[in-house]
Amino acid sequence: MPTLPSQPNTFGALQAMQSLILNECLVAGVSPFAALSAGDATRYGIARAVFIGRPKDFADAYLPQCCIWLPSDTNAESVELAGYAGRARSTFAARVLLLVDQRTDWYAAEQQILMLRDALWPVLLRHAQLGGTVASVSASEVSVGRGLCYEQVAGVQYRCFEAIWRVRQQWQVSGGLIA
Amino acid sequence: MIFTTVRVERPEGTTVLSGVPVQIESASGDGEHLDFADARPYDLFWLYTTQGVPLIPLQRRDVLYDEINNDPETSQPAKYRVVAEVETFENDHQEALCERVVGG
Repeated sequence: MPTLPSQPNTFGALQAMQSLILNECLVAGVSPFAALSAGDATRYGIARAVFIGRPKDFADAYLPQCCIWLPSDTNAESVELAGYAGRARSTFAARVLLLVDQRTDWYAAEQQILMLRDALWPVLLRHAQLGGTVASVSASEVSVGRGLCYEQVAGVQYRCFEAIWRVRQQWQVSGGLIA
Repeated sequence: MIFTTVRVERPEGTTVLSGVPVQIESASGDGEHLDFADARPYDLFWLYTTQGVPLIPLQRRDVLYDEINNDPETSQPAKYRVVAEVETFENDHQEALCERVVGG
C-alpha cells in the first residue's frame, strides 16, 4: 500500500491535465493551440494557450485556446472523511473549455472545433489517473458537460466545446480524526 | 476624461498604429462589470479620436494602449479593448466603446 500524501494537490492535478492536453491533444501531429508570447510563456510556464483557469484578460490573439477551470459550483465538488484513521477523499469536476475564432469564417471555425473535440476525447478518456504523476489522484473520468456551445467575451462570440474532467483524490489527514 | 495618444494592436501583440490622439472618458459609473463566467471584471470607456479618422480606422477587437497614462491598479500602460462596432463620422472622427480589465 503506497503512503498517502497528507493533503490533496488540486493545482498539481490541474497541471497534469494541462500537460496531457499540451502533449497529447494533437491535430495533424502538432498542438493546435496558439503559441504564447515570450512574456506570457514565462508567466504561465507553458508555450501554448492551454490555461489553468479562465484568463482575466482574455487575449483573442491566443486562439484556439483551452481553459481548464473550476466553476463556482458546490455540486461539482465533494469531500468526506472515510474513517477514524483519517483517510479523506474528495472529488472535483474541472471544466475543459476549448475556444476558436469564428469571426472571419464560421464554417472553418465549425470544422476546427470539431477537430479539436475529436483530438481531445481520446486524451480525456485514456488516462485513468491523469498520467500517474500526482500522488493524491486516485481516479479520473470524463463526461460531456456543455458540449458544443458558444461563449461571448468582450463583445465577441466564440465557438466552443466544453467537457467535464472529474478527478478523485485521496489523502491521509495527519493524526487521524481527533476531538 | 483625459486627452492622450494610443498604440493600436491588431491582434494583441501586433502594432498597426501608434501615436493616435484620443479622448477617453468613463462610460459608466456603476462599478465593475463581469464577463467570461465572472472571471473577467472590466470597466467601460468611450474613446474618441481627436485628429480625424486614423490612417487605419479602429475596429472591434482592436487593443489600444495608452502611451502616456498608466493603469493605476497595475502600474502598466492602460489597456483598452474595443468591444462594439466603431462609429465613424465621415472624415471627422471615430467613437469606440472599450473595456479595460480591472487589475492584472
